Amino acid sequence: MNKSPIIDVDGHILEPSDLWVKNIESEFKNRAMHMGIGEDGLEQWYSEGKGDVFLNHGTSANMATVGRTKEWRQKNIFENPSLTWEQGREINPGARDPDARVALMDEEEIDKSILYPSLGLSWVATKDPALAAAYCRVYNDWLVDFCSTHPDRLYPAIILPWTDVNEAVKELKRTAGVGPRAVMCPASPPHDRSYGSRYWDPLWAEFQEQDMPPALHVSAGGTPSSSLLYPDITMPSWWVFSTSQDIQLSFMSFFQGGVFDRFPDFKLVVLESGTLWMPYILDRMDEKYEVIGFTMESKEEPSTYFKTRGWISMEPEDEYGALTAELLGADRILWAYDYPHSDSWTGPVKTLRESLSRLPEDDQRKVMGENALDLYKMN
Amino acid sequence: MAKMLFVDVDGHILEPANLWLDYIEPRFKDRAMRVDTDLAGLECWSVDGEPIPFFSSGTAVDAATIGKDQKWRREKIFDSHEVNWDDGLEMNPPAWKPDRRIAMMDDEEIDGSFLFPTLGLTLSRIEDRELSAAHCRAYNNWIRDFCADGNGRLFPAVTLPWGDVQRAVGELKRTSEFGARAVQAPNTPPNDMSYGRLRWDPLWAELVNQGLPVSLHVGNAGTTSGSILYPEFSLPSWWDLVTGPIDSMLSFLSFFQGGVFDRFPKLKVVVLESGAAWLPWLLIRMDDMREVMGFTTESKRQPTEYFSTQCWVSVDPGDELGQFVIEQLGADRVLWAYDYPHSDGGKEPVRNLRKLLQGFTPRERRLVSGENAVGLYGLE
Repeated sequence: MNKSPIIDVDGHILEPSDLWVKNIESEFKNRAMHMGIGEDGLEQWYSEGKGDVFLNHGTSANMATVGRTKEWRQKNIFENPSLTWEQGREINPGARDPDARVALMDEEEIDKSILYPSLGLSWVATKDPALAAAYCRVYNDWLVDFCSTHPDRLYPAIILPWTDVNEAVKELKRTAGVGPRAVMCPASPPHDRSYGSRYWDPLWAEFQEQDMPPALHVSAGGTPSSSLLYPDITMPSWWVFSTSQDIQLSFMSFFQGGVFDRFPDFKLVVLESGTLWMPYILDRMDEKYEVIGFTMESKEEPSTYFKTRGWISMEPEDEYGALTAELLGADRILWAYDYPHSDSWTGPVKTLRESLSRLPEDDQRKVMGENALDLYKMN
Repeated sequence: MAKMLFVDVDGHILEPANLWLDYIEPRFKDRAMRVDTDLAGLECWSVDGEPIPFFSSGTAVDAATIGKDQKWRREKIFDSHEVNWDDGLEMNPPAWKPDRRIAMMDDEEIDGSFLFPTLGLTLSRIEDRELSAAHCRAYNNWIRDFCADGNGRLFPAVTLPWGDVQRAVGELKRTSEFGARAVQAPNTPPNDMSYGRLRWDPLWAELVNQGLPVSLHVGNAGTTSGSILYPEFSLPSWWDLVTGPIDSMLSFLSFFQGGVFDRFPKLKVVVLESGAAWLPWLLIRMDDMREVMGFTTESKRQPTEYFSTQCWVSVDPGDELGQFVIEQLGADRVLWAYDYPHSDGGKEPVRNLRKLLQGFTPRERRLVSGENAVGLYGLE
């Protein structure tokens, strides 16, 4: 019998911090990313020879705190940083060892997981394009190996060198042969160059050619809109976590720039930003399209494109996930666990079932896994 | 049985071409905002001799086009520029003649309206702080006079010079004799001056002192989030209209980041003109993230708790998600707004509002249609 699959479209791994030091091509060796000690004596991530502005002051291991209380996190990560990156990996075997990940998925009833980076959320906008591409090759090769041990359970979300569109296209082509995979799209575009601009067209063309979607995901990239109000908040914080506005702006820019028209088979996934804003934003985009659509490039109402070519993921505990599925259609909804990051909670599938319980069973199956299975061609 | 009152919390006026020339203090007259011609020979509004980017290239009048379809607006305003500001006034007498406004409100069954500016939404952008404050004084005096001819049914939204906290407090105090009124806060505060910052506290204190809510409304004092991706958009545009709410979300969030509701438990905040269906989502997100990282924000309680007593949001009567918003947030948190005569205002607001409220109890209907506004703004 065909049991319907349960597919987590956005899980994470915790990278070995010496991955680049050990594996990067020799000409880039002196600029390999690594975990070091900052001026304050605490762990600091270094890329491109500079201290990262987010993974600093000993807080990098915050990404390894699934299931911890905020009190624990405040004490052990922020006030008195006592969990190193490698210790964080140690206590989350599922984030560093493929067999352990699959065992964890068995326990949690998850059939398939797409694996996104953790440290990799910080360096997607590495400035030197050649270096960015070298960083990506190291990471992607490692991740593909990681997933290849369980090819029907683990799937890589690869990272592209987004600072240069030609390098990004090259890496997307280079990884084309690895089987089903996802590709992370930075929440805000590098160089603040709108995703609607013609600059990115070669990349959207290649996505279309490979018939796979980029996925907007919280990450570094261009200027975060949240920094307009609080330029001084750079550490992991409530302020940074609460703002999903970069993903919303980037999402809308695809319509402003008419990307879905120029690439009639282009598809787009939106991750990790909640769900209920999507019906609202689609509604607003449609409404303003009627008012002043001649100042943007899309030929049809924005919601028209989303109906067949857009997807959004819900967290298991999202109390508006079912409602969003009712408003947009269950075909448009995926779900994501986010293990082992600080804002995920254990027992996701049980929680997800409860959140979706008011939907018809067919719709529940779509959200739980059937949509992802088709979208990412995991069959 | 109590009659249903209909109070529109966000209507607009259109400024007559000579408003500032007539109302500004004489020493600022030669620098006053006025109708002008830009370098391309097209109509613009200028202040201190400089064209205002958003109101230039002959497109300022787009704000006066309620009910016109986009084909008409594109041809007459954006392409041929044959319609100018004075034509916009001509087409919409209720936007600048108090007796005509009242007559229109009678037709539309609207009992009371709060009147926000159009061009005046940009006064905080005037870089010379003294000049900015002088323009605010002139505007506020004009709208006071306008509303004085409104049989007690028109209420001014005063405009403060948000670029300078002290001057803003001064103008708020000066207008305290105006009676019931709204206070407009731009949804983009001046750069690096999030509403959560302590330096705004004197202003919140004065609002509390006067018992007035502050209304987040589209209007720029600082950089818009939309301009990060498209810095070249300076005219009315789809991008500007769809990204405006993003600024409202960010500035609304900043009150919680900065713990403003703890320091001012009587401060009331209203979110206008940004749709409302994003709020249930944002409230949940704020609460969830507080469970994860609450120690990095100054708020002592869950954001939803402050919201349930200190915040309100307006819905557009034609909003398809309006019913859902009222169900989720509760009828006591929701107001409604017409947005006349702007290009995206809808028709027959009260008829649409009645339809929207059909499924609610009589008490809930009365709250949303008018009683919330009466209580919030202390109307008689």
